[in-house]
Amino acid sequence: MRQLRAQIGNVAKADGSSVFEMGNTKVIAAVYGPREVQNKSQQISDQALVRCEYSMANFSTGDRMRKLKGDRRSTEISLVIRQTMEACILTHLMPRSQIDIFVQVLQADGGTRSACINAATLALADAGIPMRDIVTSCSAGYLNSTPLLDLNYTEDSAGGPDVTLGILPKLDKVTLLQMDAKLPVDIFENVMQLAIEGCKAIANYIREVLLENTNQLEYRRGL
Amino acid sequence: MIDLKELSLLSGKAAWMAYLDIYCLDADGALFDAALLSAIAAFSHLEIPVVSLNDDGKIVLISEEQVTAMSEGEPVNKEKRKLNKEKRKLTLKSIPLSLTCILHKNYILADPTLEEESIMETLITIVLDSSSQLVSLYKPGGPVLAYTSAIQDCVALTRQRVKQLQKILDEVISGMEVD
Repeated sequence: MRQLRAQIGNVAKADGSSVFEMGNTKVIAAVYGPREVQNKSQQISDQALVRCEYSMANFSTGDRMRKLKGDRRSTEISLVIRQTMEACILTHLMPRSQIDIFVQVLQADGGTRSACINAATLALADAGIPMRDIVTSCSAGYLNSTPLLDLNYTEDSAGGPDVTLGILPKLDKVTLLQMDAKLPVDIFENVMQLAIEGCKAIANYIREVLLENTNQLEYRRGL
Repeated sequence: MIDLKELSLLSGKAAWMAYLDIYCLDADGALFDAALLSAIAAFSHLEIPVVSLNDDGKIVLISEEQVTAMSEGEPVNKEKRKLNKEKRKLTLKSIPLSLTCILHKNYILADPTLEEESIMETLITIVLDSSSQLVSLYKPGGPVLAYTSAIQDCVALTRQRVKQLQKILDEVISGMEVD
């Protein structure tokens, strides 16, 4: 597992924000909400509407890329993150409102999806949005007959399978499971187990960061 | 600030293309100042690899390995020398630095935050370079006419600011060189 670093409250204007780093992959997330739905036709009368936008900075990968915002990969990952977070946000507590999650990749070195989900969790916690549990995510793979945890770009492009897993650690429930390439089922179970452990380790780290942040807030308030 | 000739490799045949992407992560007023400062810091940090044009007309990186390969008959099991990736930095002359001031009634407020910008009547952005020469002055209309005295006050404020920013930039750059 690569080195983890996280900070909360970077974007002053957002209701919640965070910067999450896994090794060289660096992601910034900002959450706005719950607020009034901007497009009244999409309003849901008994739930909050969750929207998510994922984008990569031009300078995030090795070669500068000029991708438009609406390209397929961005849309797919936006959808994946939205569905993952929607599963854990208590949307029925905020009917007719909207929660926006914006995730921007500043540096991409493998595992951007996972870093985005972890950053989004921290940002949602910073915004004080009620959730069932934190969502943590980690990627795992299988190269040279060894299960690997938290792949970086070189390991990812080596052609082995790439499993991305998102779980609710305390409830022990899986909310996201994606894999490309082929893998025999028994090896898959090992790899998935490894990913679960990775997710739990990230969950511990996230809890520490949130606790530290709360202590800071208490201190500043003079409690 | 940049001598474009430094970016050329072979006159008329090959040159470096520099891409500058500025991303605003957190906007809290005076965006232009922050963007300009970060662009300058980025260019100060820029290191261009030293390359040459080989016979096929392709660009190749000059590296230690190539040098050893070219000298024939050298035994391969030499003690490994550190790969010398030659990189060069751009020489930046007359670095421009800026200050945005907002005018409200007869007050001048330098370096506004977003909240302050929302109540302003108009703003002035002044860019001076390191030799205190005026590079640019930007006043985008607005209901208020700025008296020339106000503009001169802003220029004086900018001059002070440029000195501060220059100091900070130098500290950071020399801090990096030590690494």
